Amino acid sequence: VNQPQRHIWIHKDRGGPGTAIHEGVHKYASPVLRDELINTYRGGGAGVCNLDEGLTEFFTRLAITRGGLGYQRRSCPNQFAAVKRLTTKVPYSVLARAYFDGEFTALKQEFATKTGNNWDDYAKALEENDYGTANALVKRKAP
Amino acid sequence: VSDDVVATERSRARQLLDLGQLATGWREEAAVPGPASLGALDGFRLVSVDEDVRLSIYIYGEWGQGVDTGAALEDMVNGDRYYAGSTINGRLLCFAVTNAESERGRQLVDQLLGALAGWE
Repeated sequence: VNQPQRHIWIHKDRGGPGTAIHEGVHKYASPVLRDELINTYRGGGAGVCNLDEGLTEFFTRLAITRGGLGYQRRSCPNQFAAVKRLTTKVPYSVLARAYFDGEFTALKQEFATKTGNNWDDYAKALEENDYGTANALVKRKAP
Repeated sequence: VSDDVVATERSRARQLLDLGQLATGWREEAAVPGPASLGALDGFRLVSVDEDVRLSIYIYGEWGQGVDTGAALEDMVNGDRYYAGSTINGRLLCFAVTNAESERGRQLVDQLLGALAGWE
């Protein structure tokens, strides 16, 4: 996918059975979450956003599971694991509305309420590939 | 399938894995199980110098042909003792194994499988 236009190309000789689903999920995503994180932590442009990739892969695997398709997925392992951890504190519905509908503020508020931690600290660590710090902020309880 | 295709796919696997960016050194040896026994055209194995991670790459004649084999290998090996995973990318199948108790090994397996999948 080329962001932000979200044109999709799939190479006929590459990828796996779930590739088209992953790229298709990107197509349905709101640009709000991705653009804000890229502009804030990666200096803008068309770079990769770890939370966006993690959520894309999360909903890809959900679609594959619920569709009974049985495709093995290994893409975006760190981003996917981070989102899996996030789901222990933030409900799917909040994540889905942030990702597909652009209701990003609600996700930030839910994160702060459930973890007692600052969203910006989490997002900064996640987008700087510091998964250890990011994941620890999901686990930690407010004092 | 020509020798050129096999050579191209071998090269593509190495490019995807980008082993040079890892702190770990690797040596190449013959794939285990052998490629022919899995219906593949060719294959090779990469072993981390500390012997913690073993990564077998197989090249098939057609796109996605290695999917079922990867799943079968995972089913056979995954368990209390070993952490195993597989992924495909076009004609390539990658099967990776480490000791289940090795956190670093598990992270490396996930990272390498993600890399071979192509960082979609």
